[in-house]
Amino acid sequence: MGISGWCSRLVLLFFLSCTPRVSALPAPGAWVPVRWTGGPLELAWRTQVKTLPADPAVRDALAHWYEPATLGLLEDSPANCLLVTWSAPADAGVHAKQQQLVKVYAEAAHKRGLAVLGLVYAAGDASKIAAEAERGALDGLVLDGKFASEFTAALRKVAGSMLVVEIADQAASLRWKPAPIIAVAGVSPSARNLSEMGIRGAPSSEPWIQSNIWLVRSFAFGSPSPQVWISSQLENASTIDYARAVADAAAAGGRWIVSLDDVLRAKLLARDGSVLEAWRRLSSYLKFAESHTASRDLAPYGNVGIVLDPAKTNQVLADEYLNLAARRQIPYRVVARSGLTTAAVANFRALVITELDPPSASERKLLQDFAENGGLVIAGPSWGGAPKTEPFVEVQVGKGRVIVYKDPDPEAVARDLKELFSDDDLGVVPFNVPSVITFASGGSPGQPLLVQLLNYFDHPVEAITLRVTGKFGSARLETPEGVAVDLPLRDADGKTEVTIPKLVLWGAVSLK
Amino acid sequence: MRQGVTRRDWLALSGLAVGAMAVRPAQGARAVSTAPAEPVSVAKVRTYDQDLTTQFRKMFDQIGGIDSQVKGKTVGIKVNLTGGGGFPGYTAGDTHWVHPRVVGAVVAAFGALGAKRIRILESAGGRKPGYKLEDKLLSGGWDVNTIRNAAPLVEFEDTNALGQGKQYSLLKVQGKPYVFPAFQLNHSYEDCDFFVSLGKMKNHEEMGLTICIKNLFGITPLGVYGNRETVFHYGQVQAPAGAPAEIDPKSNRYEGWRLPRILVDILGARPVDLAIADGIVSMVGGEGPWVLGSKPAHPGILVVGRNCVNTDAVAAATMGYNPRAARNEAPFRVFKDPKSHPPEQLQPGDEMFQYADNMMLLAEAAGLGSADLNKIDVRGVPVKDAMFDYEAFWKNQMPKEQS
Repeated sequence: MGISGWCSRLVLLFFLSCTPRVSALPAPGAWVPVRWTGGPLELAWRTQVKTLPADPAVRDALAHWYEPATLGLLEDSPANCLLVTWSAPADAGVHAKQQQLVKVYAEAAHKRGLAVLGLVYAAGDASKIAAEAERGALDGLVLDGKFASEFTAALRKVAGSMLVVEIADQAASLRWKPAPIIAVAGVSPSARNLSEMGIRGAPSSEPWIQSNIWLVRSFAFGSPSPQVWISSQLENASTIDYARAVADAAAAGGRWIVSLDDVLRAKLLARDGSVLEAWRRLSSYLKFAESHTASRDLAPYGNVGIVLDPAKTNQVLADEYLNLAARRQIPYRVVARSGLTTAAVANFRALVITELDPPSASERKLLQDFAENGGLVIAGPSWGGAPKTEPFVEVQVGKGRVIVYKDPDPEAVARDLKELFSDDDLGVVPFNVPSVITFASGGSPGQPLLVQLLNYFDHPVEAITLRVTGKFGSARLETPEGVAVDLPLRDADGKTEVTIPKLVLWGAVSLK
Repeated sequence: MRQGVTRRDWLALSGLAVGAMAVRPAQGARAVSTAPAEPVSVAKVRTYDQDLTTQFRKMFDQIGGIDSQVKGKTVGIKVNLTGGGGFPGYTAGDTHWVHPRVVGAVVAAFGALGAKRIRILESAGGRKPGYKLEDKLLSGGWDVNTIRNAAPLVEFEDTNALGQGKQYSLLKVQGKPYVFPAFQLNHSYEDCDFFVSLGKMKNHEEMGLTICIKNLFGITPLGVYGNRETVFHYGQVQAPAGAPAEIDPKSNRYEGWRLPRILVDILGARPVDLAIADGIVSMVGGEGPWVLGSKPAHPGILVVGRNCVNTDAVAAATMGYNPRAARNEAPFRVFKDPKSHPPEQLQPGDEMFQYADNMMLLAEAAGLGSADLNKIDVRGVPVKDAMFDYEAFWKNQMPKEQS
């Protein structure tokens, strides 16, 4: 580090020491997490797992991350929950030094109203880890790695009231377990044309979008929904990539564990102008997300129900239905198999039950009645009457239909859903959105219908049309980039249409 | 060794009689006939933000005026759409559909000329209940209402099915057909007094070119034919009962031979009164972003003519291609992805041997219009001044200042 870097640190430290602040800690439900790793233990762990930065300046920045100056970076940011390096296999001296450093840092963070959670990278003595965390005045622990379920259970037991958050690889393993905060590994949000990936698509092909929106919404089937944290580390990320990661998690009510890459953090510490600007933009997206927390209370909108069975062994395949239906812009709600009641299905126009394999006698009766009353049921071969050659057969049942697939797969079903359902069935239909994923929520009587749109290309999209079933009096578009604007409403054969002139990255249209 | 005509060749030959270039006739094409040759207008237009309505009025005048044919008449415009998606930063209308502002301007121009009714036509719908052509246009980011309001009466019809008609129209090939003697089509292709093919100037993976002749492929309704690929491209199945059967079910099934002839048959069954080629922004290397190696381009060209074959020939020349090129010459030596074509649709050898016959020469041989630049009166901007060399751009060989 150069002299100017040290000077700027000293100046910052001076100002920080002049502005002590003690604030109440936010409740876990309001935690906005940021990965804030550093100290000697982080370097030791990185050395072990061979991810130590090559640049000495970057290593130096990580080593000194728990100097109070770094707290100043959070001065104007909604991020209020620091995930700090806490436990990993290392030399006892390194371990002790790290814990002492973090303890002092956590005290300073607490004074600023910031929660501090300790990252545990590898299993160890659960009692010791919990006791040390208690002494370190941490607000919780985050398990970040692969852990045996026995260790996780033991840690939760000895942690008492201290929150233990496990970052899971697979959402399905957590979906049916009640927890105040669920953390799950996600993807780096992005989109690419198939041709860029060397894949020759079809005329109907759309860009390959990596998104976590489906993942967050997959937990929103109970009440209240848990807080969902998405963990992903972006690679070679631009400013817009970071902003997109925030928006992608937040659109359906989740939160991205803000994770800046090492080089960016080193430059941030050095007060690099362009990086500070990137950090401000990221913070503006966090602010936009956190200023719309009321939308988290809106349940996902959808006339299509996708029924999931917690007992099914292949949960990853079941998740693909949720992922690919979201990509095809199908507004759906998740229905747990146990929640499949006459009253529950009355709120749907269509049910995808390919994961009920086979449906029980009572479920079959319920679904048959649903179809006879005008509903659409999409079933797998266990329903009976599957075709021998065609992908599916459509059977008229009373006022409705049952579609029986020979061999359903998520990609084919998601693609077909778009054509099997009318606009009325879908309720919300977006046009000109090849690089966009939409997420609709609310829409119950007395509630606004909120349609959020997220663009996964770096280029803006122009002239997106939303066609919504029903009559509305106003439509207001809000984006992190500009002031809210009212969109003109059009009648379209009894439905309502609005056009969004330009979507840079994230927009929310509220229809009332 | 490539035998296509390069930009340099064109510049060298520009002072000579273009028709004197040594070219072979397309394989299988009949002897050159005295096919009609009418004026074609070429314009250099840099962006879609220009006053395109005035531009089209000027070009219509350059080809002798269309006022009397349009006034008080029903005009059908077959617009060139295809699959969706897009290159980053481009809309479908920029690169692989005709641009909505071109459509709006053409509609406005026809409206100003007194057209009674203008129908925008394309076969767009799939299985989705209640799907309309307007939905497809919205999916490309079109301002449908602006187009609807550009003339007193503008209608949209998805011609993949019956639409507003009660039955399909049977349109017979005028003259001697190659493959199909007639086609069953949506009523709008018969119920119009003035028919316009509004195509995009772009490459095509299997046919080499998409302009105004190729644009007509989309008038064949899936409601009748079920699957264009199996019935028309490959001839794997015959047209369903009730639809006109092909003349010789044992004829060559290779799409490079078969489809250009079918395209000429379609043009013979539904002659075009006005051909408009949109090359203001376009793409090279394929007909949509799904084709590997394709990319956007900014040729800045508009071409308008009364005769569809003449217009395509001139448009092809402005794209840097020899409109009389034989199979295996650019752009008709094609590069088909082996993974997305049935094995029997790939010529023995390797991809170097894939080809398409020149649909313009086949149409010329059928007497539908001349593909001979020496016989076509090009008005407006000369071809050599309008030219954007698609092949060079595709191969990254174009001088930077021109690309």
